Amino acid sequence: MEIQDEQLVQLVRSGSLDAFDQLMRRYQRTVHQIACSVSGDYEHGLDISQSVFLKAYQKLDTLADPARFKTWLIRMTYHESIDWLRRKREGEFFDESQHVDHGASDGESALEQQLRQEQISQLLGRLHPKHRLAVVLKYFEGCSIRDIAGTLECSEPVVKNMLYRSLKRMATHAG
Amino acid sequence: MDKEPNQSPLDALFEPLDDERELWREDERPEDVLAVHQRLIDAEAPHEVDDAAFARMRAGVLAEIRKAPKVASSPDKVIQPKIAHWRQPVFLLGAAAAMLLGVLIGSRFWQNSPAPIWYNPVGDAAQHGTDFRQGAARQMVSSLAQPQPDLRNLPYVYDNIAITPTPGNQVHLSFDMATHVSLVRPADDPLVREMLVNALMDRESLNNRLHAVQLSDPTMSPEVKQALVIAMRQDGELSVRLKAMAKLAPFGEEPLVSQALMEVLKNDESVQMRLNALDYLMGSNPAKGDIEALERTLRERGDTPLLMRVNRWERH
Repeated sequence: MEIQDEQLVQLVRSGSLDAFDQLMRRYQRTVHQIACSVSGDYEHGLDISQSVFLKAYQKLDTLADPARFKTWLIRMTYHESIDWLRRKREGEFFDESQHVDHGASDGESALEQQLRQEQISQLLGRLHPKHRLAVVLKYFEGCSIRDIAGTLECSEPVVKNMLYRSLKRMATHAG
Repeated sequence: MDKEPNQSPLDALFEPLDDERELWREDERPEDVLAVHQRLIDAEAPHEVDDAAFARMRAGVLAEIRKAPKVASSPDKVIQPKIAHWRQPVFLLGAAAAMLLGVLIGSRFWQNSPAPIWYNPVGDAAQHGTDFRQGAARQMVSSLAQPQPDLRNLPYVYDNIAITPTPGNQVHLSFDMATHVSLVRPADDPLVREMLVNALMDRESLNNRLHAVQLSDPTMSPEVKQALVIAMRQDGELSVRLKAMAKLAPFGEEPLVSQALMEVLKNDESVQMRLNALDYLMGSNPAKGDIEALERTLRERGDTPLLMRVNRWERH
């Protein structure tokens, strides 16, 4: 039986690094996906994820309700990605050597798949970061409208409106 | 577009909105939005990485934690920092209020006191005699009481100022001077070309760069062509790089452009960029030797899908 987030958080608070590793394994893809989409920077998605998990560990004491770890982590990822985006715009850093290798495997289908993914990334890049997060949570993380509303700290109608508008904007740019 | 009143065409996708606000204008096409919705459902997450990369990331986090271990605490301690945070602003507010009170009392005292002679800029010189206070310092203080020009509204901004006294009661001035200019010029004006080159290099504004690419034409001048090449190779934004490449595509036979396209093939991380570069290169009727060099580059990069595309071009 899978250990609940709440129990893992308690274990981490009592000093277990293994428990934190388990939490990281559980949410690494979600964090990475959101980091890439919100920051629009997939080369440094892993760097942002690393920074998010480190902060999560350091600030775990401030999490009032351990059962809401996922929501808390997603929100932290969002803010960290926005910070990253801001620093990037200010030209604070950029190390070209830290490329993540997304090299195509083989065949044209891999190429086409990469192309489709790149086009989706581009369309996502046209959205406001908060709207990007809503789209990523809805379509790639399979979150319900209620969960998204909880994460973004807004009402469900606002989330629906946000998604409608995001799709409309993406449709305009999809051409 | 036929639609029932107060019903969004996307109601089938999500639950209907609580407040029935108007989401669609007459000229909008909800079917395009539905297509995007379907595309997103069919798509895989665009930024998948392999497990090994995640393992490295986790190892990095754990190593950082071990380097600076944090004392684990029980959840009860959550309350503790909240009290400390609550106290801090109260202390700061108290300090600010005390300072404000001090300033108020001080200003009242100042108003009731006779002004000292040296601080009376409009004082009658005759009343105080002709002493040292009537020198340049007094005039300076007097001038301070006059309305001053707002230095922020000067027409020019100066930088790198150097002032050096020179013989013959002269002063040598050296400075950079900038002012804001707003004007309308024909698209082929030399000033427009110069500004386009500058805008293409403007790292601050993506909007400026996109507009600049849109307006630039490699035939305008060698500088514009060079700026487009730099934008294609180095701009951080994929959309700018793609647009710059499209502008340069008709010049694929020129060494400057073909070399830049080869650079893109070697180094650009975007598959869309590499694919377009390949198509432009192959479309410009390259010599056999050039194709071999191209294949060598792709083989070095391990870019199998693009190699297959070269083969397809060769078959054609």
